[in-house]
Amino acid sequence: MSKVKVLIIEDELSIRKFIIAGLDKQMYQVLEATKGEEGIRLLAMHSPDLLLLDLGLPDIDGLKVITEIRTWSKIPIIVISARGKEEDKILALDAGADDYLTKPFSVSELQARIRALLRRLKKDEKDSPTVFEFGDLKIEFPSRQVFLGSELIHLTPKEYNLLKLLVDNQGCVITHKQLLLSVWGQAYLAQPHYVRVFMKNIRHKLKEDPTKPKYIITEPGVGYRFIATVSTPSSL
Amino acid sequence: MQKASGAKEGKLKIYIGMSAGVGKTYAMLNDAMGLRAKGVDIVLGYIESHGRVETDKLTNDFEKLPLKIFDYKGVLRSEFDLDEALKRKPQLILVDELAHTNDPGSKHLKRYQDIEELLRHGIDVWTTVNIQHLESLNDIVKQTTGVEVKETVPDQFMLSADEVEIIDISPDDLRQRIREGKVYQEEKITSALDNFFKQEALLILRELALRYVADRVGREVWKYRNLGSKAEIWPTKERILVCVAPDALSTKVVREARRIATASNADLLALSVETPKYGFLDDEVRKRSANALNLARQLGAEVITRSGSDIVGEIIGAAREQNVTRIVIGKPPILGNIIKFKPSLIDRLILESGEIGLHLVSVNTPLRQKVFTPFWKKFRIEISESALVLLLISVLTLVLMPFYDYFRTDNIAMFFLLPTIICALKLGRRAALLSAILSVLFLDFFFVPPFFTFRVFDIGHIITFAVTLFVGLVIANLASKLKAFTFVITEKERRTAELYKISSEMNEVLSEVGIERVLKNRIRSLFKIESRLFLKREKGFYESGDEQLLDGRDRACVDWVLDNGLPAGKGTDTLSGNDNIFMPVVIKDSVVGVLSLAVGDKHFTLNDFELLGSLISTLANSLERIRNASELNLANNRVEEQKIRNSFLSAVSHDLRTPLATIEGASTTLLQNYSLGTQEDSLSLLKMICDQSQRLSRMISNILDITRLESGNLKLNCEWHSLEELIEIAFRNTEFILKDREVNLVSLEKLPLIKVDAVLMGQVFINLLENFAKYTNDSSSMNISGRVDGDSIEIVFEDDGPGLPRVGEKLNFSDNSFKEVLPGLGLSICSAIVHTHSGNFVYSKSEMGGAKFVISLPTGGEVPEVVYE
Repeated sequence: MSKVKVLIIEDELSIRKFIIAGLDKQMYQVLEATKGEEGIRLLAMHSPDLLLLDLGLPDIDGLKVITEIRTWSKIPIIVISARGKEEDKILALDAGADDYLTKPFSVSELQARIRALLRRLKKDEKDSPTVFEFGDLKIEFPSRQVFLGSELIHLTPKEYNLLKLLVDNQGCVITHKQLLLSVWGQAYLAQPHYVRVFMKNIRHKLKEDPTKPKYIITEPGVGYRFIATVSTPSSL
Repeated sequence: MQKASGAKEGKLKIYIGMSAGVGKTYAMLNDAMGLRAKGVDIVLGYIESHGRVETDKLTNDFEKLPLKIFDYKGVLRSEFDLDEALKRKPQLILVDELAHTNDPGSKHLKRYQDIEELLRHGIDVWTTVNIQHLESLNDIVKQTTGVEVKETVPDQFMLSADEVEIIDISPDDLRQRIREGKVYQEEKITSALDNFFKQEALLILRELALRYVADRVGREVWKYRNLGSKAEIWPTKERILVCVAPDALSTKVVREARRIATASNADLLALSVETPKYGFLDDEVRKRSANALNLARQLGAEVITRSGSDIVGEIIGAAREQNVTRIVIGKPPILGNIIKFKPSLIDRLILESGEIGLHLVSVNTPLRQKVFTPFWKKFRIEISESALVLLLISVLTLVLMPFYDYFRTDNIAMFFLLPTIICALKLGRRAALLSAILSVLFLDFFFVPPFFTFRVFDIGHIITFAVTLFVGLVIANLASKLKAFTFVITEKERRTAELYKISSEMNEVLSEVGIERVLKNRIRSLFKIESRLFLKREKGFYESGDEQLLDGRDRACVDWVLDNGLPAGKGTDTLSGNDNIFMPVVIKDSVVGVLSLAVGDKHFTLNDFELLGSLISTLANSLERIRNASELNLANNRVEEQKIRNSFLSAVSHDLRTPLATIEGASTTLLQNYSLGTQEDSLSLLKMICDQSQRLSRMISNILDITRLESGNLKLNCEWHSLEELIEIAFRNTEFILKDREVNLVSLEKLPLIKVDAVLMGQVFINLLENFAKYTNDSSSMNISGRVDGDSIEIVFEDDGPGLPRVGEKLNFSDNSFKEVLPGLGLSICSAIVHTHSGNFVYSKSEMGGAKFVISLPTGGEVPEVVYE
């Protein structure tokens, strides 16, 4: 199997080093850039498989980098941002980033995000499967039926659509805006409480325990994420 | 006149003339030429040349402000463009035709208001007016010339002018000019000369104009002399009180009073007495009285309203309280009845006014319009009411029938007074009168021989009837008067109580948001209307919970009120097309906010406006108190700040140094003994580094949070959230330190969505869970429960740990004193976040044995609805 090419645009040397150290050399080939302009040039030249982008760059705003890249490339982008700037994350995701990491983050989190994105990419190429299974949860897509263990769970069409969207992007964050747009449509963009009410119902039907969610986790201020398949134990 | 700010006002010069065509505009332009030569920046705002050639020629040399052209119902109209003038901001602007009424849709109703706004913005204004447009001369002009002038200018505005110049030519010259076609175009000349410009009319108008200006000059001389001496400026200033009765002629009386006051340089007060009858008057009549008072206010009078049954007593009372020197009242009509049973109002005024002068004003109309409703209306009784009265008397009759043999007729007559008393107290006068009459009829019919006829044989019975009827009528009258009076009194009492309640409620509130809530609730319960409050913020703009609802039209009103400090919107003179009323909230001469009231179709009475006024001043006081308190706090804080910062720095640097020391120590050991140590040793050292760096990271985010919260720059991003989601976030952030501790969620799933900032509220929960993990052992347990309590939601975190050290049974995190007993940042952050959400954060001893934290948050209103499919 050929190596996955990852481009890191990040001005802090220590963060770059730690990311590189955390990525298995057998699987990943890493390209580094410290500035936005340089990163975009490297991206055009080497067409990597994945981009890790720090939002606070010395030359151009990270958001601009995303919009610029999205005009001509579909490369998966993971944004790295500082804590407490939820608006920045949402702006980045809405501009076309696929996921985000909040500093400080651990290597295991980084690996999980990369794997989830690459898996989604591969799935797009293959035909989608007809059954999804995760823990006790089983979804049969053709009949739109959801089971918890052997029990059939009754979801309304909207609830099913919500769950399916999250499952299709397993491991990746889906913003409130994306959920509202694809399940309810443009007219509901100003009514984020819809998502919250429906998520609450889905979680009750899936018998989720807020202290130990098994399927869906909340990304505060951003959206939701279906838990990724069990990751390999972290290196720590 | 109230001024919006302390900025320098512009100077106003008015050119006055007896009529059109005397050359005011020409003179004004000529003067302006002279000034322009001296380099003054002059703009022509609006000049009406009436196509006169000489005038037109003069205007060519000036910069002209473009007129505002707009489409009114398909007709193109042009108006003076106020906004453009304010933008251009010349030193001096010339605006012709002071009395002009603006087209509907303009910012102000009248041109003089445009000019007021120009002056407020520091622009000098020259304008022109004809004498007949003066408000207080309106009646005289009508009486003497027969021309009714609709466009008027308040006297107060004229008085505020810095300079008045009269442009005078003789009536003969004027008529000559008209004949020569210098004033009007050919076709209008004859009709003009035959109508308004009659020799006689012109003579009167000329006299009026000359007298007006002479009066003014006379006053200026007096003022100048008085200013020169060291005595008080107005040592014996007259104060005139005009009595406003609810009849059609009271506006005339008010105008007359204004003239008297102006002539004698006196303050003018207008008094309206609301008698108990007031409650029963027609809307029409009440409106008239309100109109007269409004006119008085426009004419610069101070308006007083009193209530009581004794009109004369109230007039004299008000006059003495206000140090009035003269009372002006309309002359009552001669009614022809020479023999009077009681002294008339005027007689009593003469008797009781003592040293206060009395000025009777003739209003030149033979008969005053009757104020009260005609008698048939007065005695019209509701069908249901009559039925009730009939029923009452029938029952009484039935009850008394068996006892007829035991009582004498006059005893039974006494019983028949009962229904009248009951009716008078419960139903009012009309029912009581009916009852009195019916009682006597029933008494006669059923209890006086011959029975079941209305015939009477015994003369004694007739006396009994007469007395019963008379007593019944007296009772009816007295009781209904009492009732009406109690109505007025209770109404007043209710309002006083409301005001008291509001001010005490507002005094308890510590935040501006809280005050807004109290105000909205009160206005809703008092007037049954919705309101919004917009407060000015430092960064030049105002905000409120629902600023996004402010559309362009409302915004224009709010902006204008903020700039000018005067009411706008429906029923006012400015931007009256709006459906809301916008009232300024003023603290120490500066407008700090705007209260907007969605009045809709509701008719606001004078009383309502007064109440609203007191409400707004209470609001302003409370706002000022809060602002002062926060300023005081700020000052105190600054003294404390240094102290706190020092201790904070040393505490923080100590806290930071511990994990840093561990990391440094562990990593250097690892580096040095890289090849020597066992794998087990290395692993434990690495784990230590990892743990301590996580601790460091949490600590730094806490420090960041507290600085962000305390700087006050934090903007809440409130949305509807489910509590379970917030708890879930908190758990994910703390699971590695909670380890095996048991946490139970009790009935959280039943709670409705709550409007909070998810990230901040999540932080509160994280900190509480972190504290729980930090200060309890591994086998401890915690309960998290929630419940709805009225319009707030309570979330309770309680555990069986040791509780807070050095804190008694209860601790309210509402002030800063808790910081003295608690060193950690975690709870301070919780408290700050909960309080920015207008909530409460309270600690007490839990029944489980440990700590109990109660967070109560406002629900944030009605949860928006969700359509499920």
